[in-house]
Amino acid sequence: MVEVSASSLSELFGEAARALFETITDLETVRPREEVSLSVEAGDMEELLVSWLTELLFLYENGQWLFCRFEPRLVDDKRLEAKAWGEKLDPDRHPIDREVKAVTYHRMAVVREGGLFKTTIVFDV
Amino acid sequence: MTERIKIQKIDDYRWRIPREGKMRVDGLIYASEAFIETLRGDPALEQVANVAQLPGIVGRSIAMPDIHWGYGFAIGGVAAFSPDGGVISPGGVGFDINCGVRLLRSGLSRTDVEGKTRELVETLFANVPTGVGAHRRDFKLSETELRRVLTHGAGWAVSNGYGTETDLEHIEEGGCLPGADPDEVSPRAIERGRPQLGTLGSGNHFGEIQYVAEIYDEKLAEALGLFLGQVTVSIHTGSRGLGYQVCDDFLKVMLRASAKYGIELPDRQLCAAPLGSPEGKRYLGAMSAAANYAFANRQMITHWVRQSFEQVLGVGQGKLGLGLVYDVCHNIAKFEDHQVNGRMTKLCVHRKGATRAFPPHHPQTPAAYRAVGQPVLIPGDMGRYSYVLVGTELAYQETFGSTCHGAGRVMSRRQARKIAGSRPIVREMEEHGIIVRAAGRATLVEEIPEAYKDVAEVVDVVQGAGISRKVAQLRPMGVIKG
Repeated sequence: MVEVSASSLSELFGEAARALFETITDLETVRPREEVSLSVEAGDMEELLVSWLTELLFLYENGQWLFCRFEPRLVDDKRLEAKAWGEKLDPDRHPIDREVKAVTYHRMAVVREGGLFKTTIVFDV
Repeated sequence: MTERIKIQKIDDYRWRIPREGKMRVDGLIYASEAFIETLRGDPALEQVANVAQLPGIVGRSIAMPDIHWGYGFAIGGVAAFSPDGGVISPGGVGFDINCGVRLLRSGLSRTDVEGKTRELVETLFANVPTGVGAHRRDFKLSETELRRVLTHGAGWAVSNGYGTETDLEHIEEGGCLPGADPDEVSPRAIERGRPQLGTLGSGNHFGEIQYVAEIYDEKLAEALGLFLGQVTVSIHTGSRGLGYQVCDDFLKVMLRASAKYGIELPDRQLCAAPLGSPEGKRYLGAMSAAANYAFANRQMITHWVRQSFEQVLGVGQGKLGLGLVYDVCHNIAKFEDHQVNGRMTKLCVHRKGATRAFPPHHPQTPAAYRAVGQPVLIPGDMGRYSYVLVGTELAYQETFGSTCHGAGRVMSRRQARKIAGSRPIVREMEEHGIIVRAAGRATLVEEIPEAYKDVAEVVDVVQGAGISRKVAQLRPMGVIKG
């Protein structure tokens, strides 16, 4: 379970993505060598967050992508356009801590508290 | 909120969460006094009560002694739903559809492999793809072929040279759920599944070389082909990325379906659809396909386990005799016939972190075990032991023929890292005579034995309650992990 917060919703998506890759590896070892563009759609904000992370997880699992930098832009609460920077997994340089099976909806809620957007994300590992 | 969950003692092994508020049925927890004390205030109990609120639930919302907090449904839960008004929920199955365990018995004694454990472990690690991204270079699967896997399950593997027809008789449901619909498996799930068939994965999944350390019932052990000191192999894995993706895809479908059919959800992860609805049927088709993938996955790994033993010991299958004792699912939803108010009724039984435990003489108990009951395989943590049990008539009456599935965590992964982060786990295990080979750096630390309940205590509860009978205890000699 990870808690993330940010001063804007778009940033919150970026922080959540960092948390995902921090769960998988040591982010310090990942270099922002290549850029990938993504677009995600969903039914509401929470679902959009899960879909975004799931999309990144897919790119990792099937394309061996590790990302360390993100530039997400919320078009509205159902659509996200984003760029992510990273590199392909190199087992000699990237310590793989664990496999994340999925991003869950468990108690998923994006809330606003004192000017900050916050959420808790539970990864199934 | 959790403090509000009332628990009433029924007997030494049974506790009731009385129906109240929006609950439609009682909750029933199998636990010892000591377990119940640790469970008080645990959100898992709230989850048992939440499941009791779902439409069409029959009997009770059941929790096994290895219950722990899960996503939506607790892990270690059993819930049966009537086709008439009941629901199906991906959260009641879990992400890893048909995660399960299979046990192979050998003709070897512990002394036959003495001094060769390390080589066996290394060979298994090389032959069975383990950890993220690992796969066999000599095995590629086309999409057309994968769709056959989804339809035929372990049968596909056997007809492609991975194992024997006899293996199929020793798998729950014969290694293939009927009604699988590959067309309901998304292109994304297919894409994730293609490179991962025949891979172990990571986390709590493992391959383990063990020996029979104790026999509790000679007659039952003999019927299951087990003897003291015998070498056995356990495989614990599931449907990999394909299953996770199916779950993920259908959580979205079910969130909408819950709103559409007016199903009130105490937690989004409990989202569900009526069993007869198009959404419910679609999920059942996709889930069954993913379950078949998992059956095929364990079957292929079995083949490579057999090859590894042949390679290291230089003897053929005849002497090795690595036959299948059984293969159980512990994350699944299935239609089964059960007694409800004295009448045989078809129900959709969800087992999430629970194992089927059918009694002697049940038509679905394999012919070889008909007199003793269906074998139940309960893996423990990597440092202690695992158990072989059999199902009972009482389980059939009380728990829709279900029992526990494992040890259950007592420590979160984070806590485990905190206490064991810098410990040399591989060396510690070796000092206990267990050779461990792991692909992931953190996995091992998170899987330390003390992160789990003592599985012996879990098994004592299901035996004490009479929903299973102990047959044998297996102790690890070598472990591969993702």
